[in-house]
Amino acid sequence: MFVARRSWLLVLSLVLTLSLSITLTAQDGNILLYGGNQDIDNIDPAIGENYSINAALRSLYDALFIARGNEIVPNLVESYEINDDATVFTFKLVETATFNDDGSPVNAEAVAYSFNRAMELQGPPTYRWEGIVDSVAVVDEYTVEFTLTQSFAPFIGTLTQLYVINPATVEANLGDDFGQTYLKENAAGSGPFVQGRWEIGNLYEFTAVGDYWGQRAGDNRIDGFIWIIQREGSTQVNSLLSGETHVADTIDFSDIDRINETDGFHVEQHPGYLIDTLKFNNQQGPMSDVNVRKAVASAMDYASLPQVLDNMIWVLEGPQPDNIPGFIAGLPIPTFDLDAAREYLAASDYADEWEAGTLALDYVYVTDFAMEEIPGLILQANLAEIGVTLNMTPMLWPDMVASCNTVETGPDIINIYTVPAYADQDAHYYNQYHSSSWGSFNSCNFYSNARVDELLDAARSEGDAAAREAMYAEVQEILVEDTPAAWMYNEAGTIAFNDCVGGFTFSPMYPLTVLFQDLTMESCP
Amino acid sequence: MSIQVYLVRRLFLIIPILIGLSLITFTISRIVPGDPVGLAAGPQATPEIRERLAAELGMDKSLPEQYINYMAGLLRGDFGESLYTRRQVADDLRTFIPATLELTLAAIIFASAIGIPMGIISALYQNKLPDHSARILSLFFVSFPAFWLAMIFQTQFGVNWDLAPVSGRFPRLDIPPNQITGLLTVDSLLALDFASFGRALEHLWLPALVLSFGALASITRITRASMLEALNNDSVKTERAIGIPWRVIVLKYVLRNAFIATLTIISLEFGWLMAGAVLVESIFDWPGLGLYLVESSLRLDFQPIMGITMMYGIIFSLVNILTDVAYGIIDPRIRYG
Repeated sequence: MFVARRSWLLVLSLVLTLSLSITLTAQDGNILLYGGNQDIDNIDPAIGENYSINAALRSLYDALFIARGNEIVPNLVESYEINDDATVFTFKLVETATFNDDGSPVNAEAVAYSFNRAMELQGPPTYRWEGIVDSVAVVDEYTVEFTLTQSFAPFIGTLTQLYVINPATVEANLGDDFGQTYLKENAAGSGPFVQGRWEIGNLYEFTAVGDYWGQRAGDNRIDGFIWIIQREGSTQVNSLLSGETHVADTIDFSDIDRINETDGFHVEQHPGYLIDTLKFNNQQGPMSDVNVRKAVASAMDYASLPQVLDNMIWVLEGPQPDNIPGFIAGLPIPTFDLDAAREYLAASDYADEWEAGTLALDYVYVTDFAMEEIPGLILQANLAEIGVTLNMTPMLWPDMVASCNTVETGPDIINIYTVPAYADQDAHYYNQYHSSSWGSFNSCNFYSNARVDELLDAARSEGDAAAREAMYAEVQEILVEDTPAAWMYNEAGTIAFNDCVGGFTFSPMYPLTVLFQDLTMESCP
Repeated sequence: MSIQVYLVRRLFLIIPILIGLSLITFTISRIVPGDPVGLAAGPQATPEIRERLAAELGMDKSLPEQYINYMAGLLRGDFGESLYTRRQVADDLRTFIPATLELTLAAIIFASAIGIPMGIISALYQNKLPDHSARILSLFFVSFPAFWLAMIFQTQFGVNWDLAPVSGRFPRLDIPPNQITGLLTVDSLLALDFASFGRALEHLWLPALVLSFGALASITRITRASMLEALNNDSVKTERAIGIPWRVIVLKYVLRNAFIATLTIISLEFGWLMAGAVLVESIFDWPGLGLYLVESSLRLDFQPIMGITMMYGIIFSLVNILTDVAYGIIDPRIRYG
């Protein structure tokens, strides 16, 4: 009995001694620990697309072009030619790029294969090319040619999302789903990193390729990084401050001061393309009346938004943010003016209802999402002052998406964030205001204007930059006149850093995260 | 009835329970409004893409047909595929269950190890200082929301005092022990890798402690109440009268009589803790079922929601059966039937 007890004690003390005496042995090299607010669900370039997936894809694969800071620069492309009417794009590829899994060259064949596979699978990234690209042809080993169905000036911008996969790897793992089962968790690219540990729902390790063909940071560059999924803002900050992570993305506004006030840490905030809009249902109910739309747009106190919202924002001064090229300043957009709102209501078809005090509108926003709820409350208070009832209607995001499918289910007013897929006005306007785009949350305003449709189609295929700019200028003027939405603000991408991390350049197309291949680390914990 | 026959009968009884559970979950998850297919297809998907995806996932069929297909898959161990990640739900469950199980088991061990002695002391010193302290303490713990305590403890113990890692199950730069059970503490011990065991324990104790608080309070109060009842039993007077030492009476007779109620609450709490782990898991980045459930629910991703509910159902039923068996061991007068 006593012997047994004693041996137990012995084991216990042994365990305790061993466990207490351990020192954490860090992996060799500069491994950056990254607290990402979102899982990386699927790394198949033909299927996945959101900020975390993009961060992974940009690390594991190479695309023809890459967004670095504000610029879109050639990546796999050495030189390119565009024919006069912008329908044929010919790309000469670099000859030094090789796939990380088998060392085979990244050639024209691989580019064409990747593109065709994406179009065949019709995943979320392909909307950029649907109906626009007619065919892709291999001209020679390192020359690939895209023929478009119509002129499409912003085509280059879409190619930052065309990640080139190794055809041999896909063919070897084809399955009955074109390699999707394999590629959703296994990379087949030529990017600056390869996969390390891949623990679904927990962490993802990326290891730097020693002899990467492309551009990497110079001294102190990172040898790899680990994407740690951290859904709680408080955990992200606690991990950062305790040295468990070096970078954390999508930081809550309330934590920014705490980070900036702690020695050795700072928060980067820049305007990206996170554009918030109150979309009005232009086809149904009171909001189909332009005067009601203008009245509601005039009842929003835009100037108060930066003070009351929980993140750094820039109030929009037109239908687009000024960091997308082609912004027209000084348009007569609705400003906060309740007298004007009253006048618009009196002039509207709903004047009787308004005077009887029965004019009521629904305001739909994501349940518990303060960034969308607070503007609604402001609008509600202001509208109440002029005798209009605003019903705050919280919804889960999937339900909001569903409500935007048809005009009949579309809410009177819905708060929606849009993110253009490339830094071009086409990406911003076409999916929101072209009548052929109805059915998605981007176009929940169900806007229809023949002239705008015509301009958007024409601008798409206009090769001449000045002519194009003029078309988008007219689009902006018409939109302001029609007020299909109230243009609210552009929200900052907010990323927190340990000061030991360097090499970060903000890219508005990827406002929520970093380009890992450019990062450096020096004397990090 | 022998215990074997009883066990087999109870195991069979799980089947109708699970069918009922699946029916309810299936119905609720399909009748709520929302457009999970649209969400999975992406914001820019054309109607054709959406329809194709719906057909691929079998969502274009009638609800009864979908249900029958689902149950047929379940019989083959196929929990379906996530709409959003396109991963097999069965694989995901296998990945996430061990983490939740480890956290919940550790929490229930904490809760019992602290709660039962506290309950006993409370009963023995009824209406005296130890009793009042224990009751106030348990009221304190049960009143605080777990997520709030989790944040406070994380900031205090993790950041300010550096007594525990802020998040995760294992240091991110280190390779965890080879998976045998998936419970890192158990796996590292099986591999005789005490350093890893230490690291796993270091990560486990704080979230487990936070998670245990709610259960700790219930266990303390139930143990106290049933101890009091048992202490007031006439048998105790007899035992004292014939001179059995007080310590023996309490630990051997009273506690044993009182323990049935405590065991019941422990098994019930185990189920609650598994569900309650959702919040603690998300704050400590504990990669378990809870986080998986939250993520799937926010996307209305049917298959994982169904899979997790079924899994909870199975675990809960098994714990109940184990508890019933344990009753018989503690109190041989209990007959199975």
